[in-house]
Amino acid sequence: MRLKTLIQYHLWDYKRAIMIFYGIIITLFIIFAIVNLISPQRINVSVGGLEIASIIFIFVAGVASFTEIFYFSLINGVSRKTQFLAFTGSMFSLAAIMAAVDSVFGFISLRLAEVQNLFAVFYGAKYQGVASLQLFVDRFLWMLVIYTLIAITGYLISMIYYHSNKTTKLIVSILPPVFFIIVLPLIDSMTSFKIFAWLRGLLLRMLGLYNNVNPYIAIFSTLVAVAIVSFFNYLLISKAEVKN
Amino acid sequence: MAFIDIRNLTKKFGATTALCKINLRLEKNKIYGLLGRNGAGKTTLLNIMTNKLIPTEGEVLIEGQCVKENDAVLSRIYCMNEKKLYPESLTVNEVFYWSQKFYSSFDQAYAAELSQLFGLKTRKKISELSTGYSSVFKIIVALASNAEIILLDEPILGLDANHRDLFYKELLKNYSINPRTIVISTHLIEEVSDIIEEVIIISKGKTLLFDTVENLLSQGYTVSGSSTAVENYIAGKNVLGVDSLGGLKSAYILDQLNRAELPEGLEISKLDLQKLFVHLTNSKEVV
Repeated sequence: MRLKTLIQYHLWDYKRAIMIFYGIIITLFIIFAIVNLISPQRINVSVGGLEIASIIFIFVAGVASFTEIFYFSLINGVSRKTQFLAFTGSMFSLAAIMAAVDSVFGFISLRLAEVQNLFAVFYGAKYQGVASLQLFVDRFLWMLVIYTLIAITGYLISMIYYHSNKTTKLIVSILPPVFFIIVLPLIDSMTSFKIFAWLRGLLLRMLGLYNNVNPYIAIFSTLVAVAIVSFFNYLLISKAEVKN
Repeated sequence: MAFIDIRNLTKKFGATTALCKINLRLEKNKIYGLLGRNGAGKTTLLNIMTNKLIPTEGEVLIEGQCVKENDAVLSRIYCMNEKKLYPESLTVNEVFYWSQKFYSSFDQAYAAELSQLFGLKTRKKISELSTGYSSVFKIIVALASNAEIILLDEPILGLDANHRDLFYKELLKNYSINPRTIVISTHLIEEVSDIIEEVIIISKGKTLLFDTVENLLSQGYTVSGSSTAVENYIAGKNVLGVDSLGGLKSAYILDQLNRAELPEGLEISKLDLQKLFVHLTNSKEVV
């Protein structure tokens, strides 16, 4: 019962932000559609704009979901394991809602303007001549897992910061950018650029873009990543305490 | 079996030991006073009792069931914390609404009634409440929660005299209608001495004393009268403290009263709990 209530609270908490977010998106789509209708030439709307915007939104939602709701849940006698399940459940629900809305927007917008989306850019080749329903379903599933992964990663980052003292926060903030921007390219150049080539290959395989185009591989890889991040989320929340 | 059984509870924060092997057995439907100086470990104890902190060692059991990560047991306890734990963007009404969702026995009508009584504006956001009204708001949620166990951490923080009086009256009224186990952690000992039945004093993370108020107060007495008479009488006795007002004095003595040696003109009354607390927490070695 508490699990259900906490999921309801999470979704209630996001409700206003989602309405504002999609209010802006709808307004922009209407403006683009009107401009496109009255313009003598069809215009191109930015590639993957909606998915990128949704990814940023859900990442922020994930980051913002920890401290406040953790305290609120504790004062209402909700255990950490229930909190973990409620967060994962609510983020999956939020991701499903957003993926569904984005899929519908994507479907409608294709008929209103020359809109490209991230999924079409990656996997468009697979759907040449295929019924649009399959494209709709596959795109929805792809967005669902991607959005879920992004949201729970935001939550993980928020918890890492919560557990860290000032020094650890500084290290956590500086070390990854320094590693990826300076150290890794340096090592890469010293090893005849094999590291980045290997990473590129790995990423393409995980995204189902190596040799042929297969979004189901991307969905599977993302699900594995969701499981790994969730495992760390559970570890961190099970050790989290109210700060004195 | 004790209703609340605190077994060998230890909590360490790095090198600091906040609680050290605390053992307490609390009975059902009693009001306990949890006393201790700043940093004694009162809030830490209450936070462990409600799963907000994880003990380093030991456990808290409610009717034999461990509190840690146990939703069913946690739903029987409500802890009003001194720290602000509610989302600041919520209104008081929204907190009442969600409290009812989490605590099925939460009485929204009673919460509304208390809000009116205390003059709390329920449309206000938590962030807009003053320190006093923040305490009032948390007291209302605690009383209306109807939980079997209510833990109140510094409930009268920032309350004016009227609100404090109102709080004590409502607490007793609520308790008489619906008896439950209540633990009040406070610094204003004298004010709660008439409400609490048993006293738990913790000092430096250890249990210093756990006894009934009656037993504690029977360990000494207060003698009042003219300054000269009081000074003569208390010479050589274990005096906890002395208050003077004009030519009158009151001395707090930790000893058994021998009425035969009491000179005329001196009056005897019960011991001041606050004075006893200060004496105990200043001098006694914890065990």
